[in-house]
Amino acid sequence: MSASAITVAQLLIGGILQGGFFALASVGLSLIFGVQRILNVAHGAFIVLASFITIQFSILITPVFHIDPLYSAALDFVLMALVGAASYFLLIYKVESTGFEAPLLATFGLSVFLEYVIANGLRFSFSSFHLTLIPVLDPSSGIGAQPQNQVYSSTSLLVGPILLQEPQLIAFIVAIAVIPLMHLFLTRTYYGKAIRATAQDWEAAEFSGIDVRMMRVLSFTLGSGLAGLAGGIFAFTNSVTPTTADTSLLPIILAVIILGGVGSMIGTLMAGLIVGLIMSGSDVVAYYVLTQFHFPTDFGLVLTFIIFLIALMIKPTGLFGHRLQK
Amino acid sequence: MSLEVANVSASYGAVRALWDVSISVSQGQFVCLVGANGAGKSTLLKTIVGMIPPRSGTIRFNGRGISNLRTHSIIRMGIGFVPEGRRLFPTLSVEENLRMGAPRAINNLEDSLKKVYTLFPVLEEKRKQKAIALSGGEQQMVAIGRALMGSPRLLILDELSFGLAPIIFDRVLSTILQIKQAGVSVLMAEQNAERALEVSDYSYVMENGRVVKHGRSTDLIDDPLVKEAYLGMDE
Amino acid sequence: MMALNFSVLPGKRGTISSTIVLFGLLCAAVFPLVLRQTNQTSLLLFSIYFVWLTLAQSWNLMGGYAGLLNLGLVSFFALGATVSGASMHAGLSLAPSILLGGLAGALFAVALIPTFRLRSDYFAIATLVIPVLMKPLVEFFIGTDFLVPSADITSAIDQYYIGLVITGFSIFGIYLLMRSKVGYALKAIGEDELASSSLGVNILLFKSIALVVGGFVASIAGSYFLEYIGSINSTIFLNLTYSLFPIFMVIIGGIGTFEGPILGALIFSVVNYSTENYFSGSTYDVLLFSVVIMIVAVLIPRGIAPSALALTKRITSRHSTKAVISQTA
Repeated sequence: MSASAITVAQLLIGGILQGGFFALASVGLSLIFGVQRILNVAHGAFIVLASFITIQFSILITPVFHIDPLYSAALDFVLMALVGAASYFLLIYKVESTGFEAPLLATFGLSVFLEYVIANGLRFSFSSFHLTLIPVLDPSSGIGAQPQNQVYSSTSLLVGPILLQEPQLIAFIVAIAVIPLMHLFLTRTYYGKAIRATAQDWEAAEFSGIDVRMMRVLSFTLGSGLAGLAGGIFAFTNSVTPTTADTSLLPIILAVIILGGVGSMIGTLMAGLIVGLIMSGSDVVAYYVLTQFHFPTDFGLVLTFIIFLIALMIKPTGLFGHRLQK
Repeated sequence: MSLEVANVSASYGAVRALWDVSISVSQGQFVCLVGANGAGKSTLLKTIVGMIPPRSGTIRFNGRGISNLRTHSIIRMGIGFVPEGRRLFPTLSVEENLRMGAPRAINNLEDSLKKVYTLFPVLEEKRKQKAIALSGGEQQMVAIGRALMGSPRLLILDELSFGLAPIIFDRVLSTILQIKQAGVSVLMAEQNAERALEVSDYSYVMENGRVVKHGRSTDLIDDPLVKEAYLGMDE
Repeated sequence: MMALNFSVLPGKRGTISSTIVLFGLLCAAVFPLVLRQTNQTSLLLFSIYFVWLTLAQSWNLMGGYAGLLNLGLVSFFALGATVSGASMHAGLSLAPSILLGGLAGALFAVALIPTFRLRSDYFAIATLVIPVLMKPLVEFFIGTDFLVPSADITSAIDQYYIGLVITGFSIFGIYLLMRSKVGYALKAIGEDELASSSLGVNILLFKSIALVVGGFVASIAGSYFLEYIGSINSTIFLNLTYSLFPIFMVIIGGIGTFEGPILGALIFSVVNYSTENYFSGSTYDVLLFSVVIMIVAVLIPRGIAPSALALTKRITSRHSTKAVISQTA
């Protein structure tokens, strides 16, 4: 292979791996949005919060107990599932019947709150009395943090002439393991089917004797847990700041869930990979064709969103069939 | 089995839809609600199963007040509900739709399924098909089958004739009578008053959210006022 | 939307409210005259609140009256700011630059018309993503950093009056629009889209008008914001604040009402001003604000004005039934 062919292959494979992470980050929100039409704009903040939990784990727990910080992704799943359940009961449960706006605003407030807590902790001082409910989670003061005491972030594997970044590979493997599992859950188990039934017609579900509220709690909890899992792995692939969610993560997640067809797990996986490929593919184009135009480096992002908007206009139900809803 | 609805009023949105309605269904009875579109029949059924909260009045099932319970708990007490327009889960298969009607924990689930398939053999043939691919009559069978999966003591039917050819509707009705023979009480809201009065034991005539007349169906069918207003034959 | 039949159209209450607002604007116009000359720099404080008021007007027109759940108001806002910044840099003076910023927003709104065929929640998501797409495009075609040239920097009092004029025009422009044929059509669409379309109301046309006017107003607010803040860069497109705070204001005030955005923006401004002052030097205001947003969304999802009205209605109707009972007794 010529050198440039290797570069192209390198970029495209990197894109697919990156796409695996996009799918993993999106699958939870796709489930939540599919079941209850709630656009949880705090989903990105959930992912970032989980990243910082993993970073803190690597600083506080790993040196003492010698637990690999990668395993904290499981802890992130549990913790974010709890955060999700609490958010559902405190913020969404009461207002979800009033329409689309109130839950949206509530979760927007939540994302601002979480960003604040990550950057500043939850500390109060009254004259000489100091109370720290939650310490500052971001050790880098907003510059960008990564887990400590680990080698993943700097490790790569050489497969033939192609270099694979290890954390991206891990994210990819977790995505192609977890997402089909979610698909099986939704299509094979009672709770999965009851969740789909609730998504398709919640009144009919109640008439059939399904506890709709429980199905909504379940999907919100599970979706938030998946955000936690994605966040735990995200910490290794990127340097994270408290505002990473709004500026880069959430728009991509939204593009992925719409392209994949809201509520479709396998669709989300495919759409994640496609978005990863489009982004790296456009980088290739930008690198070889457009450099003379001085096009900005995030041309990949532009192309992704243009393709997303066109796809949305042509087929508003997503590129893949098999959706959760009618 | 007994259902007692006493002095119930309810609102649908901002509009008062039920005024002081009382009905009752006793063990083994086939009771019909007849009346024009918008008379409040459907609202009454939804109020009974807790989808619309009553403003006042009491609803008792087997002697227990149920007006504070949520719909799925009321259904789980032994009520099967077939909503207007069938409301199947379109991308779930026929069998999955049926299974959604059964509580997760029951151990005679396969028995219930077998009973439904005996009642509607065509559903067993099409058990793997998506519900959306069925004909209207078959969809109505799935809706009834789904309501039967929890082994209900009372079956509530909202506008069974909706979108069905008269001959199919007759066939569905005869199945309902079969179910009644097995000891299940039936409460049915129906716009097709003639057929409803023929098959039922007792009927309530509703108008503008009120019960305006009730009595044995055989008596109502000969009532001149009912004849004029609902059966379309004035003598 | 649920509160649409609230006060869109001229009624007694609409007339009273608009008179109060007009009076308020007149007071605001007289206000600098009573301030002592030395205090006039404090007028600069008001600029940001004029920006919020105008943005709330824009969003209420799109989201409240036309039912377009636009989550990307920042794309109009930031486009107005960047275009007016570029035109000032090119030598245009302040007023035409602000107007040009507004026109850019209106033009951009026209480009968005095809997205109307999306279902409302997909439309919302599309609008949330669009600013992210626009940032690199604006960087490529217009520029990254925008500075108000020294020739265009205005005195505090001029800035105050420019803001007041923009706010006044946006409030009463939209008020008059809603009293015109467009307003009646939008109200009909809001109550029953299917029925109005079968009656021959051109839904696409009237929603487009709302989006274009709303886009113009939001972009004007952005142009004025640049004048206030002095310089911005293209990352402003990624700032969700300018998309979501106006929605917050409209919702606390009462969505789809004349009073709603004004009331909401005033409440927002008072809370914002006092928390920023009280917690000056710390970041607690952000914390408090996030908590307030959550509490408002959960406790009064239908807004203060409609909730208060419903409450007074309930109280007065209780009184009248009591009166009837006592009369019959």
